[in-house]
Amino acid sequence: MENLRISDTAAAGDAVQLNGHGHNQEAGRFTSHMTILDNGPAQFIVRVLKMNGSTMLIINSKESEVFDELAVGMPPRDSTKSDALSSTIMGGYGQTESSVLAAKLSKRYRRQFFVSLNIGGDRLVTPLFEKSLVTYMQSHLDHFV
Amino acid sequence: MDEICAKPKPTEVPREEVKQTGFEKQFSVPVNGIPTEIVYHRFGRKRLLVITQLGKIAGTYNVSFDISNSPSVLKPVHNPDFHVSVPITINCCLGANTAEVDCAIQFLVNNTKLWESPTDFVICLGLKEIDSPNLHALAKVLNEVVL
Repeated sequence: MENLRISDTAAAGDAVQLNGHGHNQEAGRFTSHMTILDNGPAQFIVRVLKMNGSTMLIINSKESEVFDELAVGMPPRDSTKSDALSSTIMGGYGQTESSVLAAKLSKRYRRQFFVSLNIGGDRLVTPLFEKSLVTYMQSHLDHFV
Repeated sequence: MDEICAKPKPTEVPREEVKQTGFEKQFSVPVNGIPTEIVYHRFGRKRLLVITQLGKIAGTYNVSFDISNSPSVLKPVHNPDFHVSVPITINCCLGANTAEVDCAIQFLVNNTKLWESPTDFVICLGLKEIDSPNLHALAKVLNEVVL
């Protein structure tokens, strides 16, 4: 959370001090986190935005960060069912890497996930990456859910 | 001379408890009294801007600049008799696809520095109320703190 100030407070309504500590809605605050996952020769940058009831994950290779694709995964409303739904909402068509990962995460954590996965993985890289991501998530769960 | 050759003293940085964030900018700020979460990050070919007062992502809109090679042409004209907006195309990816939201996005592009570097951006907008005071306050925050 950054400490911020704005010169003309009147113009920002009653935003008196934009310091990130100005209001007491602690429960409503978003938190974000960034990590680099080592996956053999490849390294991936994972950016996480934890919101109320949902999480956004943006994953790129370390060489170049893009935001081309975005998918959303929803947990099943009925707790007896285990299938999660996902859809690609930006970039790509049909079932994309992002939508597959969004569905898996929504199913696992029973939470809405926005996923932007831009690693151009293949059958070898993607499973290894998913394993390292899930291992990291399990050990740093408070950053994600 | 001694002062020049001497090892420079480390500048004293005021110690403030600033948490590492995962994005270029990520903070919470009251806009017109309404707590607003703002996230901004520049990716390679696109920027991400999350502005929400609802605690979640309510709508996702892809905004592209119709003229991207000449920023000088993009400059909006704020004149009541001869108003010219920045030419943009808004694609609704998720959430409400209303004229109200389109107008809000167009207002923010016209009245902030968003148009100065015409890289396409994705805006996740979730405002409780779309009206003039809220949008003016939001534009002020974006100009001074984010962009």
